[in-house]
Amino acid sequence: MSSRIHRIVPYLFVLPPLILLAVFVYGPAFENVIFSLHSWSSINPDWEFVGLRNYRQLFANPVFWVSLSNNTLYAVISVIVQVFVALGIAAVLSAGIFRPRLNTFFRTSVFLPAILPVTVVGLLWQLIYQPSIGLIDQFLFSTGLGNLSRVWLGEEQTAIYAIILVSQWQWTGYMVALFMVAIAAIPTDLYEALEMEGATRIQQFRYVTLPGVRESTLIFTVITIFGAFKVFDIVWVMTAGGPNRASEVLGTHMYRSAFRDDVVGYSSAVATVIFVITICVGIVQLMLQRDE
Amino acid sequence: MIKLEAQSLTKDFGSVRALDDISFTVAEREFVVLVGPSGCGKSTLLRLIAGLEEISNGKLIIEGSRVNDVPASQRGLAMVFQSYALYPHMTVEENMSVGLRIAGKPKDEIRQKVKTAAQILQLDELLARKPKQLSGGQRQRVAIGRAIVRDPTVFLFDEPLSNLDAALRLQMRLEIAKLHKQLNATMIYVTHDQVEAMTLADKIIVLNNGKIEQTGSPLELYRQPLNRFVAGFIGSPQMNFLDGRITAAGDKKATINLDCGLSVPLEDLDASLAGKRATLGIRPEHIVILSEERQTVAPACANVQVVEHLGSQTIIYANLEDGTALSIIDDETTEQCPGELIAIDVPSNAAYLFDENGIERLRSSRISERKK
Repeated sequence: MSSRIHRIVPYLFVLPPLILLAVFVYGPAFENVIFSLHSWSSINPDWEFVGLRNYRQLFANPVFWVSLSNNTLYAVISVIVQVFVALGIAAVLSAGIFRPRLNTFFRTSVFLPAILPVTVVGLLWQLIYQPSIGLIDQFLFSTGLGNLSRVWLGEEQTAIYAIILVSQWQWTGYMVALFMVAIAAIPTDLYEALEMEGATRIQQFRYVTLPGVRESTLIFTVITIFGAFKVFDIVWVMTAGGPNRASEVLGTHMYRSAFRDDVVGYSSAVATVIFVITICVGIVQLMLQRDE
Repeated sequence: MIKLEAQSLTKDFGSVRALDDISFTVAEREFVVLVGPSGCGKSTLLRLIAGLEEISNGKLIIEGSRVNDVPASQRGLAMVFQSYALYPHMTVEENMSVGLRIAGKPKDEIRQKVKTAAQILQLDELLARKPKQLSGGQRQRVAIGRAIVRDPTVFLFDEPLSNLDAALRLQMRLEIAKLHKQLNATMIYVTHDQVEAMTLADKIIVLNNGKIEQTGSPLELYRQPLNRFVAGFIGSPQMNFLDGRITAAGDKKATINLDCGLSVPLEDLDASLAGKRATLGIRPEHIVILSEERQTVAPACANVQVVEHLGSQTIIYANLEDGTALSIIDDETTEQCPGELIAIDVPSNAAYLFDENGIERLRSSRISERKK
């Protein structure tokens, strides 16, 4: 009797979060796939089963491909900056090169943007990007580089890059902080042993820091990629996908389809694609971790 | 030949003086052990020597040249860390060769050196393994191997055995002693374990509160401790200390009246000591348990608290009437029981005498002087 209770108790503890997850995460995700196989509108109770028509439409839509490539660009740049550049900054700040006070100042200043709400950041940078009166143009004109001036958020070629830059500005410091924690967990003996062997700081980074943060790097990379494919808020605030849908990402495309164009089935298909991409990234992460 | 010399080394961390006026020499092929309780500064001293901490004051000389400002890697030393400091992502071979690879040595030379070190340490079979596939003792050997490969002027060991279990510790202790002979190496070894210090060292440096209490060979420290700290630190179980007052001095009738009621006659005490308080030290193996027939004149009684039978000897922990704790090593296989009263005597020829503060030894045991 008691052994049966012992077997059941662990499941009882896991049950409440499992129920919540099933109702609010797995259920809707599954339902979303069903939605995507229908043609329906939020104000029409009649659903029409259309099979894969939404997906065919989606793949035929150039806006989808623009969105997908923007997300990919977002992911690539974010991984480079928020993972690798952040790791470099974290390594420098952790190495005790600067005096403690200066170190704290640098750490705080790179971290600060992460505590601002995305909408505030978006509006702030809209001002900075403002043609003629914005900080960037002011700077360009005052240094004689005025011919480089552009309507940063208003031109198809620059809009998505301008937004991606803002994301890097906001989140790199946060990743630096996370990396610093990971680096702090590496035993100092390992550095000292190499120091006695005559290793330079770069060699210490290569032989100790890099392998020491391998796991964290993998996880931070995956989180960054997830974030890049789910991005919505900053794009919506700054350009809402414009101009001429050049800065559209999957998130804004999905939102516009559902809540502006009222093609909810189609929008669900976009959601399913995002879901599949993130699952694939997750599987790759698990495989890499198993290698370790 | 002097390999390494410390001249009045001090180390300050902010306003805290971690090491104060440390001077000693290490001769070629000498095994020097720095020993002391936690926080005495022994590891800091080793780090100063290694070049991992900056020397605040004084001179450090290795093979005749001052190295205070020479970077760690150029002092010709190799250090074995307490945690082994192995790189988890590298194999045993890579771990052992990392220094040579950084130095850009030719591959053949690296392979040869690693092979030789691996043979000495019986690691040949394990070269392709990663540290996490090794036992504690094997990891320790890899760490030592990494030091051997560097062919250092002096080996530095920072409490290398403290992460091992008791049986392995004994085995590694023997291996390090053998290695010392085999390599003809000069070694400086830090430990808090006085047994390790006694068994390994040619010379022991006892540190306490950042200062050297005494330097000498293991038996010198055991027989001729300069002060109460060294007397208590070297030897296990530690020396018993009994407080009392010197009632007479100067002539042959010098006597100390211990607070526990015992009077111990001591010859040849300086006349100026009469009337002063002092501490008598007596090693557990020198306390005599009196047999029943002699108990009528029993000088003192002790109440047995705990009895440890080690087979070859028995350690008795007892309390004197005034509550002073006493440990006694009894070679006889007498079977005292907890709660029993035993009569003991403190033979005056085995007694040490320290001043009230324990700073100065007033008298050495006559037994130790004879042995010397």
